[in-house]
Amino acid sequence: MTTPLTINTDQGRDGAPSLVAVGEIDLSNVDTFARAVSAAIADHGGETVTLDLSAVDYIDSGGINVLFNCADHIRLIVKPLLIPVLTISGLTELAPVEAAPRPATD
Amino acid sequence: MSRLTPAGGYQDDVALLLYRQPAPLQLDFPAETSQLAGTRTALRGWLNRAGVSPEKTLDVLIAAGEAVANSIEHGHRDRPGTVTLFANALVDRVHLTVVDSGDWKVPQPDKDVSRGRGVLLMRALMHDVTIDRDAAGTTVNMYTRID
Repeated sequence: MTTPLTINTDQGRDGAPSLVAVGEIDLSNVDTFARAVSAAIADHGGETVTLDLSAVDYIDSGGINVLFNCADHIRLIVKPLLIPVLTISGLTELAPVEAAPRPATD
Repeated sequence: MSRLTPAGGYQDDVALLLYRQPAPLQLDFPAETSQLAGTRTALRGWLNRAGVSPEKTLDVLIAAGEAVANSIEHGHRDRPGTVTLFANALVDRVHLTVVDSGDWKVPQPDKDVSRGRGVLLMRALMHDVTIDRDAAGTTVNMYTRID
């Protein structure tokens, strides 16, 4: 079984292009994630795409590689828990990374 | 500690044993990407029972995930095999060992950016990461401190 990951490409509330991912990103589904991110960027010709990963609980180095490869075209919203690993990897120096608000029940 | 001392003091030598639940975890599974999520769920549950914080749990899950992903990608690309993940909670640390029967090469960060980043992450998130290869396979050992 592939690790569960749902991806929706949409427009954010501000009308800017956005991709919302829910689940976990690992070696089993990273190609799907990479294709979805590439498609979202290609569809919006150079515009910055917001990747909303606030419901992603896990991302490995393969997923982080995808983010590195398109760092110039994205801004990220992630769980506060994921910020340290993105910082260690150096991604936060290349792309804007914002912490998602913590859910009230978290 | 002083609150444990009886009012009248001790009558004899005292030994204090610190014991941490749960018992060590051992997972044996086929070297396939389909195993990643289930393995992670099992390890997450075990770390939770060991009282490891959510922040530290994610560090351990990612480091373990990188070791397992390397075993799957490099160790068993051409033939099926198994991976064993072993986790042990001591008083102040969690030890992790990932063993496979493959022969993955340690990726060089400048030559193999993709998996090289995984090894860098492992080394950044855990202490004393060692990767030993011999004819039988590859063994990754690492630990992290816990409160």
